[in-house]
Amino acid sequence: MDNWMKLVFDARSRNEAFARLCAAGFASQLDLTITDINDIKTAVSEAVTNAIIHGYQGQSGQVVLEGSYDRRRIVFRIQDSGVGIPDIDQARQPLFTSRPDLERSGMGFTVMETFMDAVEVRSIAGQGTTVTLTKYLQGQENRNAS
Amino acid sequence: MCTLSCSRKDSTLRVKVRGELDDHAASMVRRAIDAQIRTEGVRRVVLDLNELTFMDSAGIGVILGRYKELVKRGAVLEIDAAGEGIRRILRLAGIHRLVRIRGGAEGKKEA
Repeated sequence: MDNWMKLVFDARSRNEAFARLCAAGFASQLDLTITDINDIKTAVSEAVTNAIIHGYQGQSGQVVLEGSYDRRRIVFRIQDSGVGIPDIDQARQPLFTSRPDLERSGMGFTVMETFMDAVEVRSIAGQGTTVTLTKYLQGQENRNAS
Repeated sequence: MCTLSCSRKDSTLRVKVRGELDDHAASMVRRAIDAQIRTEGVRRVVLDLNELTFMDSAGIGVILGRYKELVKRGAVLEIDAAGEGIRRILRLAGIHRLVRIRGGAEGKKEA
């Protein structure tokens, strides 16, 4: 690992922009395209929003955003200690939302999966959720080699 | 930071959204647009996203919600968006199948 950062912030919606800008700033140390940086911003925004809305459901709590990179990849880990996801496969289905009352589109995981090269979700009921977002730095060769 | 301005010409309401449309901004944008949609005689709403610098799936939720509301009222929604980042997320969500999207190369072909 060549560089690492960790950010801990309150689970408030106003911190969504703060978190994605920090992620974009961290990623901008690398030779990435503007599209890659925007992909990272959007995917991190989705994961942080999920942590705040679904993880903590309006209750107070903290979200942890970790970033790291090496020559091959940049990785962001978004962690909450909220309610957890009862059925991860269902949550990852396009258009699925557990909160139709909030007019959520159910596209959050689809956006993360489209904009990043790998998305891993780990969740334990009552303990929280960790989403790991990976983008490979030099295209297909590294993706295959990893 | 997200700001919104509306202008009305005959039965067309133009809503310009500037800045970043995320979950934090979504409820403000939703309330402001709905208040305008409910005024008398609106038959067509053009959502101008040309000065939107960021949108995630929360914005898709806002657009789908307004689309449903307008269909219920027998009115039409159109989107004006030239930025590739915004157009990409609109396409990903399949918004172009429901709503005419203008602006950008694809929009010019459609128009």
